[in-house]
Amino acid sequence: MRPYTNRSFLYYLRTVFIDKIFTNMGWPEWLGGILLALLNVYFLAIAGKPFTIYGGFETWGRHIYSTFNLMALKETLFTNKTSLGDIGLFLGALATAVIAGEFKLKRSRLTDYLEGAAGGILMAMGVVMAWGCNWGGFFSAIIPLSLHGYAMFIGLIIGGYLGLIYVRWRARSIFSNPGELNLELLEAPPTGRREIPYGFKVSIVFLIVALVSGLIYLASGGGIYLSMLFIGFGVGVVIQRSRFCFATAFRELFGGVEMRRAIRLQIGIALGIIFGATGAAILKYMGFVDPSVYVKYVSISNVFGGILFGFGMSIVGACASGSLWKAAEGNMKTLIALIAAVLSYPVLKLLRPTIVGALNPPKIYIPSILGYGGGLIVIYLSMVAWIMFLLYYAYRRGVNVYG
Amino acid sequence: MVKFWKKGDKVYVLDVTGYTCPYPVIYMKNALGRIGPGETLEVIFDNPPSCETLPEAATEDGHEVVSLDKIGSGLWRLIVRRR
Repeated sequence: MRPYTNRSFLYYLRTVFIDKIFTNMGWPEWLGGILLALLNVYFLAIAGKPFTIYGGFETWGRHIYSTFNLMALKETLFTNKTSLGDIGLFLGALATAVIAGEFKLKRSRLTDYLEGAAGGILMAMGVVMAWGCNWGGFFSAIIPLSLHGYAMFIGLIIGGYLGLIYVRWRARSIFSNPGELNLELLEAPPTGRREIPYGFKVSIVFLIVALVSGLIYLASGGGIYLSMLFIGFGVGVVIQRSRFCFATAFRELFGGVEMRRAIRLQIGIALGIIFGATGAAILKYMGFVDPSVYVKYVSISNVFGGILFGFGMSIVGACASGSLWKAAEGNMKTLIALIAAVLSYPVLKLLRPTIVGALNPPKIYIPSILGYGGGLIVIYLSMVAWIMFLLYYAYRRGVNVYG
Repeated sequence: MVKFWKKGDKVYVLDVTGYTCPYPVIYMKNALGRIGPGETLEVIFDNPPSCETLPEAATEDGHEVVSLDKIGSGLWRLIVRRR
């Protein structure tokens, strides 16, 4: 049998290669975690800071407030590295969502939008207390070997579990409304719009990215800024393709209906931390990046920040990177959460000196206590122990995580 | 808003468009609990990760996944037969 005899080479490439990349079934979570860690280390090497999200939100918020003379603008959205990464993430997620035929405008009810806004504000407050979101406070915190990442990790697990309790209650209240259960013969199921051919979609994506790149090149005055945009683009592609949802990872972990996926995501995150911390340790040890980069305050405040952030992302259904990714897929609720976070974060951040004043927290760089070798070993062991714990938990529940 | 209706003989439709994780899975499990054994449920959804999680959840509960089709841009239909 030669199934491709009467088909063009382009068709062949599409079936064996392109369709696999743009499948609706998503890339494996472990691959997503490792790729995100590698992009993170690449960003650290080029930008001199790990890949984070909220610094960009702060810049965007300050842009809005500065137009009303309420706040001063420190950097523009085209020169702030984090902002460029965020713009890239949004564009990357938008590009793959469009090419994979997954973009659709998703409207919700007013209560969902209010929930999104509340979640966005809770997340912003969590970021203030934990010195970063699920990236800057956790993933991109442990990677550059700062202890504050572990503190938020504990908080995220607690916040995610509280979020699960809330989601269960909310699901019950929605489905128990008799007005929404109609067992009569109704209209035909909704049908979607016609699919647009790959070639056309790729051209549109290419055009948009080229235009934004040109704009950033001109507005920032340098090619180096484009690297942040392109790494962010890569992060967006990986997040959208592997459905790398931190909200699911923490909310569904202990007894949620998507527990298997949550465990796969947690394993992806842990593998990412192992790869990323190795890369960051090399960069810092060799002196390419200053050891003090992204070492932040650690105290009980980070744990509480993690709880607020974990609960906030659970009710929105998306974390910081998730809000950008899902907004790019056309989700209006996460767009509202994004706007709420952008508007509230610069204001709430004014509380940080009070937290520092009250708790006087230390900044702890793991290698300063254990050395680089010892620090890495502790990170490896803690992540492997976490993976083994999750697999044992799945085994006890009789669940095949990868089945 | 979740919509759940009877489309024909032993065929039900659950429309969870507009909902993200984990609601599509929760509502599908709930709807499958309301129909009889051997009856089929068509789940219409627009949340991309549900392409994996809905069939996974249905199979885990022992139901038969009949098909998963893309019925438009960012819109899918999963057909599940209740065990």
